[in-house]
Amino acid sequence: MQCPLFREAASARLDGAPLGMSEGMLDAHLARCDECAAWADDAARVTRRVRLAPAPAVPDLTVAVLEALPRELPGMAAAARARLLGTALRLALLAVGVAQAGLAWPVLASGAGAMSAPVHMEHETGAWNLAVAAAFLAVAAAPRLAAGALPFLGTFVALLVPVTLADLADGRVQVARALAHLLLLAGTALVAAVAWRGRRRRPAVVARRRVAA
Amino acid sequence: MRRSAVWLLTLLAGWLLAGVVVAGPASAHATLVSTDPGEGARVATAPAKVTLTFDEAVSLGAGYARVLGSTGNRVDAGAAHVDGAVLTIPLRGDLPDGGYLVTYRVVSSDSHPVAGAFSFVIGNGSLVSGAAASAQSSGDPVVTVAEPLVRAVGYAGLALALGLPVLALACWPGAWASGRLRRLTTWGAATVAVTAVLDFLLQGPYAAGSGLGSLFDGALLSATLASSAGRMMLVRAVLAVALLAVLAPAWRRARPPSDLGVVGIAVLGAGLAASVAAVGHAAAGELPELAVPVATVHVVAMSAWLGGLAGLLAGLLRPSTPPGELAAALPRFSRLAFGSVVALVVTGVLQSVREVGSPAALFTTGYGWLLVAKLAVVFVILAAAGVSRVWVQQHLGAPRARAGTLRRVSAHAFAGGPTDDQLAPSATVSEAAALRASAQADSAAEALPGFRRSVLVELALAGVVLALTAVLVGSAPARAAVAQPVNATMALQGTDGPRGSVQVSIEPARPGADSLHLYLFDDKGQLTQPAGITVTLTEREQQIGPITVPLLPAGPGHFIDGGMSIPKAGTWTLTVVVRLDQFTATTATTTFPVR
Repeated sequence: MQCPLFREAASARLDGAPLGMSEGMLDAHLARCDECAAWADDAARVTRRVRLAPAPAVPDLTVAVLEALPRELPGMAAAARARLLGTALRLALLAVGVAQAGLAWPVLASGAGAMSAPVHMEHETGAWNLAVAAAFLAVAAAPRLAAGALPFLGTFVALLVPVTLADLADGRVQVARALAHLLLLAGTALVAAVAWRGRRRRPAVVARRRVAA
Repeated sequence: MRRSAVWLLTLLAGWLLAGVVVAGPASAHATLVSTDPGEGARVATAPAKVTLTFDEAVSLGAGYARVLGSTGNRVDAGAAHVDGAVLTIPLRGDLPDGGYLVTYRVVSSDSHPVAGAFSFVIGNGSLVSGAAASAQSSGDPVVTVAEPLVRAVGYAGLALALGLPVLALACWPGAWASGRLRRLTTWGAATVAVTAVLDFLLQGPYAAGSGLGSLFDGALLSATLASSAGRMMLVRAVLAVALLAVLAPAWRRARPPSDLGVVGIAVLGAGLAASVAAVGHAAAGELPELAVPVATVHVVAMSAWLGGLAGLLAGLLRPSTPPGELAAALPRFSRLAFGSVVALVVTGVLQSVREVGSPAALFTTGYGWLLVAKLAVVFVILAAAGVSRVWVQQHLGAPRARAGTLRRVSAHAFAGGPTDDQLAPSATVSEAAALRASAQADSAAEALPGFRRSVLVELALAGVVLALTAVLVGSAPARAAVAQPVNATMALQGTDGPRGSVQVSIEPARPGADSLHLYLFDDKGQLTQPAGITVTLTEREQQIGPITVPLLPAGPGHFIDGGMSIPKAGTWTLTVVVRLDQFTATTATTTFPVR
């Protein structure tokens, strides 16, 4: 192997970055090659100097800033309103989630819903509806999960709505049971709204490229 | 955030587990399941007794159970008794042929009376008309109005008696020195005690359907005392007086109570809320051991929020309050109120689901409509609460994130960082910060009228909500009132065993016009077209039918009714006869209740 590679590795070690080789190989080379050892010592010295440079004195402006603040900060009301909207969405989602869970659990517990479907089918539907309720409650508790829950909830609603409408037209489902799906629809709309509010405003260019140090 | 998520998960898991383990039958208000003789039945010989079976345990209490002859004379032996869910009325011997009317008024376990009547015929007599029956069941109008009114006033008193101490303990220590709040709390607790006693007195006439004249009737009072609801009302009165006694020293010294006092207030307050929650729908129906705590949390959260608002308006939001005190108390109350709203939303939705059951019942029953009205007012209150919250955050700053919720930022530090005492603000900085805080508080105090307005709106509408709740608590839950649509899949029986199946749905399964859907499947579960199909309806007890239901084809193997009408309530039998070809016919039957 050639010296430049080892020098790169020595520099990487100073930065705490991956070496691209084992430590043992690097140490073995440094012990053998005087030029590289000298280079590594120089590099270490430079790094140390840079890191130990004194920070310029910064004046403490706390008092000045506190005194200069207006009595009422501009934008506080707007910020509070924006927070309130987020809170309202989460509260609504909480209500929908609890209602969905409340409707689902008797079906899961007893296996006797409005339709006289086989007991296991009722159990399965109950578990399924309860899982949806859990998704709503999870997003209400942690709004950053909204975007992740959306593909599942969106697909469920997109499939359920047309089949329910068709079943309603054919009299295969009772209106009461079909109405219960409105809860699901509302919850998914709320999750979508939460996800939309939490979306990234600007494309994150910085995150995509590794910053070379 | 993480802690709240863990809490949510734990609660959900516990609730689910409890639900799966102790699942019980639905419905809160007791409803009549069956009678012997049946409703409208014609029996050949005089029975020795009449039995009524309800869907849950009932008590006779202050109610009655009578059997009347066609001339209105009593023909029962007068010793009606209840065993669990079965009410038995022994009859006199040798009853002549004729129509008889059974009227009853029993008390279901949610303390509400269930009244009704039905008639039957012995031999060749004629049926007693239903009008005579319905005249028996309505209660006294004064008692009917006074009952929810007393309850609503009691709720308002409870909000003051619980909410004001909570406000003083959690948000505003200065409240202990406020004479206004002391008087309000005393009034609230006294109101709770008085309304509890009034509730107790009214329960007897309410259950018996009699007027105010029987308020002090000894038999009614002892019947109320024997019921758990009646005892709870007395417990409530005692607890309210005890709470007053525990609070008294703190008011007198104008300082927050000792730790022991705080524990006493918490225990008595929780007991008071539980004694309110344990009377009514939560105590009846399925899972009372879960429903009563949920209702208790609902009552406590309501009191903390509404009582706190009343306390703000009466004590804190006044020009004489020092701005510093205002600035310290309001953000704390804002957090407390928000927590209460979250608790109210969760417990309120749980109770609604329990009592209403299905979204359709919201719009088809009186209970459902009352609940919708309450929800509409609650939405307006929440909007006003949002305005208040924005005001607090605008003038007094947003709540800071808790230390535990901050993301950890990793940083390289090569030199020793400043030590803790270097980080502590210098005297000049803290002085400037104090100046800044007081400037902010002054500006908030100047903008107070706007805040007062939104709090006033919240409080005024809260009164409406309490009144609606008082009526709601007294009416039959939608789950008990709504008719259950029929949906059944039946195997078709031929002479040589089952041949395919038929799926039937009848909606809404009430007397009058109903809609019928019928799907016919062969052995492989495929929709199949028969050579001929007939559907008939029969009521055996009342000897009605068979009535042929006209059918219209709606698709392959799918039929709908061409105008189905169920003449009256009863237990109906639906018979489907399918002719597969010229020689084979299969039949299937199902029975369903129509109410």
